[in-house]
Amino acid sequence: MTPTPTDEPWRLCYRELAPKLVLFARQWVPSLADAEDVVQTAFVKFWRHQPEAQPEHYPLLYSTVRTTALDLLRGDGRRARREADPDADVLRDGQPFFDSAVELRETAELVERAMQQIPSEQREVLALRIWGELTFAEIAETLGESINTVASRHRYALEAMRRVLKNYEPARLRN
Amino acid sequence: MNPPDSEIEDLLRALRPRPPRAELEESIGAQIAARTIAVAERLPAAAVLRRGPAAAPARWWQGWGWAFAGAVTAAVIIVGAEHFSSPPAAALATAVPAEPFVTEQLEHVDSTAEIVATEDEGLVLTDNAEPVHRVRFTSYERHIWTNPATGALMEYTVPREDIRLTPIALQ
Repeated sequence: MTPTPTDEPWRLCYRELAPKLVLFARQWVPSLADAEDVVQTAFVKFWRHQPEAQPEHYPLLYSTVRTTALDLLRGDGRRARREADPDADVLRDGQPFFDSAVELRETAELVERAMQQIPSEQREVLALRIWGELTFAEIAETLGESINTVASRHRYALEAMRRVLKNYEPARLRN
Repeated sequence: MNPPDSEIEDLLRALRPRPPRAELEESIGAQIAARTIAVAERLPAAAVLRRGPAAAPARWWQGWGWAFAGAVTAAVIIVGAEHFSSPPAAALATAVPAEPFVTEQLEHVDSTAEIVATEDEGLVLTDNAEPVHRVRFTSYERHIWTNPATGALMEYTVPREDIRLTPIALQ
């Protein structure tokens, strides 16, 4: 049966991954619009190579998003500055990272702020692990690092997040 | 007592990444459709798209390819340095017009290549849509000559950027 326009394989893949990919891209680019451009470029490139993509190919998609984002920065000179100071704050456009219910909105803002305070190499692992739902092996494949390195960065990232969030949520996280 | 990692993870997982604008899906769909049409127009009706042959299992000597390439590069640099240890008289005469250099007076002192940055860019797709592992090396080559008679040093540094692409078989 021929897929209808709404259940084409690429759409199913896109709908599953798009929010995660955009969040991942936003680590490097300042605005939601830039992140969407990155995801569009990377997704089309990926789908051209993997028209029948399966979950085991997703690390390649994340990796393509990462490379596309860095190439975008290279194009306008921002990459050089980011390489010189990887943890420099990216000027944000104020669009939230998360789509949260009212009761979680404050937490979402705190987490977003905390994410911007941890080293970029830890932040990307955290994003892939928590919101990308990748395994350590898949993250290692995405980033070209060893599994041990990735697991360590994740542990450091959680520790850093805990330290930052503890200042904001004393009742919940201190005890 | 600090909360366990799982509690922090649960707190973070409770947040859902914000979805992109609906227009993004349509933009991607338009690009994919345009490409599909373009490919279909290039292929004869009976054409069958096949995957390439499965990649052969890695052999122990395959990893030596880059080492060999590096050795060849080093040899070229050394031979080049030897060759340039007698620089063209015209160039040197321009540099010191008052007292033309006697090129034989210059002695090659050193040639070095220093990698100052290595960036692992992970998996990328080439223009042919082949997945490769891309690593970018930034290095400086430095060559030094001296004139023992005057103690003058001539040094030049050449920045280099090399990109290593290693094909990857996904299946």
